[in-house]
Amino acid sequence: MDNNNMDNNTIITVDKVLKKYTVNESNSKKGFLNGLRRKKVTKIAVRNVSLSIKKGSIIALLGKNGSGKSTLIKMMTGIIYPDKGHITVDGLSPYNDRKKLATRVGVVLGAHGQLYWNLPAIDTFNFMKSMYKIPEVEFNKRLKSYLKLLSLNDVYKKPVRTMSLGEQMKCNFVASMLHNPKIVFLDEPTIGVDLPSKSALKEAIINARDNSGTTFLLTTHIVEDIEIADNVIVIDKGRKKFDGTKKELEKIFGDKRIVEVYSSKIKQINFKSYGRILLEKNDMIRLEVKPSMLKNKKFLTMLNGKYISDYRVSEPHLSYILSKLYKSFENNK
Amino acid sequence: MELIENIKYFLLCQKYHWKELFVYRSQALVWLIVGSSILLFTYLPVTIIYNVSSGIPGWTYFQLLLLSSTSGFVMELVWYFVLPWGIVNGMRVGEFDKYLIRPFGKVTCMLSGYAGNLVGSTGVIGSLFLIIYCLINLNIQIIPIVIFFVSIIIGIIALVMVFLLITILSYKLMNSANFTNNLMNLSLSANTYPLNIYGSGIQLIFTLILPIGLAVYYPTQVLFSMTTPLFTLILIFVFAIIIIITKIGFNKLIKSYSSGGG
Amino acid sequence: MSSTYLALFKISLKDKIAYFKDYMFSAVGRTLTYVLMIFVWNIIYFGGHFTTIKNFNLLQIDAYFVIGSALFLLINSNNDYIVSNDMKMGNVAKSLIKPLSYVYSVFIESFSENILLLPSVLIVIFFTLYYTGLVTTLFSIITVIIIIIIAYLIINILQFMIGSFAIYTSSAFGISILFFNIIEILGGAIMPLTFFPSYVNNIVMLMPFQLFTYVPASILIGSIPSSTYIYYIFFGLFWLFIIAFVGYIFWNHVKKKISSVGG
Repeated sequence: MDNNNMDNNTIITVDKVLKKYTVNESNSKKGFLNGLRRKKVTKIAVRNVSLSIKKGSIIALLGKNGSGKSTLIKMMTGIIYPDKGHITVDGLSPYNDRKKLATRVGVVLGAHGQLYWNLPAIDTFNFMKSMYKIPEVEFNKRLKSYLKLLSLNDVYKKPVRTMSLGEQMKCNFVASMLHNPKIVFLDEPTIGVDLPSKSALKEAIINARDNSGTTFLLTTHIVEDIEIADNVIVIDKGRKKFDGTKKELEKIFGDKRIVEVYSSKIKQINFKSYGRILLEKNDMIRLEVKPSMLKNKKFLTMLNGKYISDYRVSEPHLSYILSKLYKSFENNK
Repeated sequence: MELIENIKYFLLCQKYHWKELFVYRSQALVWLIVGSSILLFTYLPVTIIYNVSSGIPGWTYFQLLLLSSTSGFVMELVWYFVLPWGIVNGMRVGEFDKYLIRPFGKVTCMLSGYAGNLVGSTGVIGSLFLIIYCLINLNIQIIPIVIFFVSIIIGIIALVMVFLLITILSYKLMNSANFTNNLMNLSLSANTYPLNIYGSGIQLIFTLILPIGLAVYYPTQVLFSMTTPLFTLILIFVFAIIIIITKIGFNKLIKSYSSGGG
Repeated sequence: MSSTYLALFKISLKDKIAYFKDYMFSAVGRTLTYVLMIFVWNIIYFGGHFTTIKNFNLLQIDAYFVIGSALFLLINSNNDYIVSNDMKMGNVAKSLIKPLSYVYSVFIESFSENILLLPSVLIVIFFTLYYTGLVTTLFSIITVIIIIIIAYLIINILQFMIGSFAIYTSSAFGISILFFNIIEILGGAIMPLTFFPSYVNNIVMLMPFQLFTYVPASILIGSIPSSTYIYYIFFGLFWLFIIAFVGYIFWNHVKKKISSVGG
């Protein structure tokens, strides 16, 4: 681990962490009895991952389903032990100092997470107050602020089982924030959540980061979730594939421009010479071109020609960049 | 200090857990009735045995009924704290994670997360009533009764740790809750009667391997002056060793918890 | 249609076999709790110098507990848990729109579990009778087979109905356990029904639960006279008809409720 990265501003360090687990897989051979036999297979969930996270940042841990993101979070919170490597969270070892660390972190695991399913959310909030020994004044102030920010004033007194997924997630978030943790881990917080709730959650995260300096680490496989992130870490098949800002991600994998051309004579123009065709319709074509092509005389002449009714140039969308990223992982296998 | 904090946390969890249990009142009522049916399994066989025969040699009706009720009391309390189905399912689907992110020991987290069932609680209360009923009819002095209850309470703590360990072990080796549940059922049934009727092999199993005999049969023997009162001290010492060993075993095993999904 | 149910049976069987180790532990554990009674009654007989208690000699009482527990295990089903769970997950409502009878599907699933136990139950019964030297006749065996089939159908229908209560209570697990406790006692799994006081015995003998353990076990060990075999068969058929009829009415009511509120 590069010691230059381990400064006072670093709140989480992960150093060459490895995690394996064993699963039972059924025999692929044909036949009734063969189908019953199972074999134990060792899978590597996290392979030699190293990273560091600065205080007060919002980090998106991106990866496909089964890439190892949740396993990494669980090791950082002390839920599971790494097989190799070291993790430090706020100067503590999550698995050795789990109890001490638990007072400094908040964790959101799944929609209804820590909420008592059959009771109103306020009961869980009061439970958290007692468990973390939050002073009454502080508790009321924080609760009031979060209820207002997340529009939960009409919701928090009804049983959790009657809430929508978005409401449950918001209440779960509140429950994990009441003790004013330094670091909050959110595992796929926006899965199945409606758009307004997603926006409210993202606003609450930014608010907490700005006002209290809280560090957030959220795992997701939804691209839109990373718009609030300062840094993006991409995990694929247990390996860290990318660790940097969104701009750096765009630079490496988004070095193209997307040009949409509208014309009734699409078939008569040779677009292949300008770039890669992404989508072709009778009256529209979408191309991926190098940025230098936008200064190419021939290309510009074509765009401004009489057969072209309209055109649009844009930077690639993040989802496109990430799909290219994942493709590059496949190619480098 | 830490022990007191853990107890406070456990009681806090129980408060909300019971509040949640009573949300569905009719269902709660059914569970309470189920729990009280333990009384039938204790009272009925013993009463019928003494109706149709002279019973077990060396044991009067009330003595045997006391032994049976004590077995019920002890195991129902253990069940109250250690619910194999809940624990194994929680570990299987990763639900246990939400307890591990709390600032308390893992044993406390596990017990607090899954303890508290209506069946166990009514079973305990019912068995306690039977114990008191038998004690009144047996005319036993207060000091032996106090020693009796102290030894069974410490025995229960030891058994909770033992069955917690067995639950984790059976999950790790067999991904099963059935094994522990059946072991607990077997322990309850076997200790309803004096251990010496089963022969030395089974007696050894329920003394040293599944030490429920230490919490039921032997304290009852001391109560009825069938053995020396000093035996109680040996029992308490043995329980302390069991608690320490099982705690070490539990801490080692729980390290391999892998949660659900990733 | 029958090929569909056959396919369902095969996949259920495969599913059960995959967890057979777990299931066997459960089965052995449950049987052992009854078998422990052998030790209890041995000490009672020897200690009290009894040759017979309520027409059971020592060999018969030992055989009763072993055979009785094996038979009780064989006929017991998981229908209540399957139905209760399906109600909770909303699977019953989905099944009602499929071209498959939900009732038959549940019965097939639980039958696949019971059929796996049959070889071990037969071995246990055979060796118990052989070891105790209790002679059983072909007529007894045929009667027991018929009674076991009737008992199996009765218990399955009752447990199906209990599982269906989940439509009212969100979970029928508590009622299932209560029912199981009741049939353990009233079926004779805890001890032979003739050991109960006569006023209790008179009532219990009118109920169908005796067919679950007491009657078939007692027939095999020879403590019930062969002249009563036909009576028990017709008694069983009578109760099967009543319970099946009540079950049919109840299930139709539940189906209507599911269709309107989901389940």
